[in-house]
Amino acid sequence: MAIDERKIIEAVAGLGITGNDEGLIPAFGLYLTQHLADYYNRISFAMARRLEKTPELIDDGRTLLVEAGHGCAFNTFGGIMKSAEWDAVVRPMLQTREDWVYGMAAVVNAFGWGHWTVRDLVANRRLVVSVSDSYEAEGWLRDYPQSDRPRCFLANGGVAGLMNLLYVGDITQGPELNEAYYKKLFRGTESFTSTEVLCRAMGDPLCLFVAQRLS
Amino acid sequence: MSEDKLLFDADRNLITMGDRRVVFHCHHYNLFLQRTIEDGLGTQDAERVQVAAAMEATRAMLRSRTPVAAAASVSQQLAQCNRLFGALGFGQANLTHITPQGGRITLTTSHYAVGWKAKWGVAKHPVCYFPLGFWMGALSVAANVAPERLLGRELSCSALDAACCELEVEVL
Repeated sequence: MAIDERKIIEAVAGLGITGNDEGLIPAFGLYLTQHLADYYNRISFAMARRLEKTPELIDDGRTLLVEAGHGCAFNTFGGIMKSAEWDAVVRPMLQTREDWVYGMAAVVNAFGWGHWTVRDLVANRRLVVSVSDSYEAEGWLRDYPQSDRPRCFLANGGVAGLMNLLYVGDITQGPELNEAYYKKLFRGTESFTSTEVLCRAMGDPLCLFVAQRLS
Repeated sequence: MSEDKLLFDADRNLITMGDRRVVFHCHHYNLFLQRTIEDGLGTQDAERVQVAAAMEATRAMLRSRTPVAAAASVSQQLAQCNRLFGALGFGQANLTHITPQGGRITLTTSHYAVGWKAKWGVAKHPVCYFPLGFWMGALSVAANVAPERLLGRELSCSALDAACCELEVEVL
């Protein structure tokens, strides 16, 4: 494995990402924010808790919030993997398609989301990622009773998105990230979905995600 | 008066300001999540929840950061909040017409409005829930006003093609 995670983290953290004269952060073809984790958690958990009061809507809240994570992976991970910064820092380390997964996980480890570790990757079949210090799970534990279900919606969508970008689409070829491509990646019969099998919010020692195809 | 700094723990991938977590996210996620909350809660409750959450998160972050010098005036504290607002990528605010008794804040740029238009085009209603809550929280902390005494609304929004976003904060 040629991925030097420390070097990638230092490079991303060293970009000095901060607002320009307009108070905006245009980077990787996106407008970035360095946002308050408490905000995401409160609005996400408020919606989930409201819907969970109605038994037939329990899964709907999770589905909606994980879908937001899919969109994050598609646009943010996809945008980064097409960027000049990726080409300069990460791409020289990449030898295989699987390296792209490890490389993107290393970039995520400069986002403040908690530490992502790729535990297992079977090409085109399965991805297992653990997350320590997940801002979602830790935020839940701080403000709510121990949960009876996983709470890392964003990370769950992100793990599935990584596999879809690499093995359903082909982000290595720099495709246009448009609506049709999104549907191909996340709505097709070959699409990967992720399940959070362990979550700190449920009292587990860390959060663990398994992405695989439904079919 | 000291400036706010983000601290990065590279081993654990934690970014903090004071004792609060900060995370990178882009406009696609921010706006998609905002619309998701509207889908789940309905527009009216979604607005209330998001403004309240922004105010709560902003107050907690401002209260936990490096203490502002005791001599700092309300306007100096708000100016510091404005530098923070811009540094975090939320936009640029004109604070000429805001006082400890409330007033108006003009956003010459707003991440949420710019992001909404870039992603979906012209919006159907104002979209700057987070910025409104941020500035209500900032005024609450700077002027030492209980948050329950604040009412806020967005009078115009550039996501609806207005020239700028105008926020009104009333102190009861």
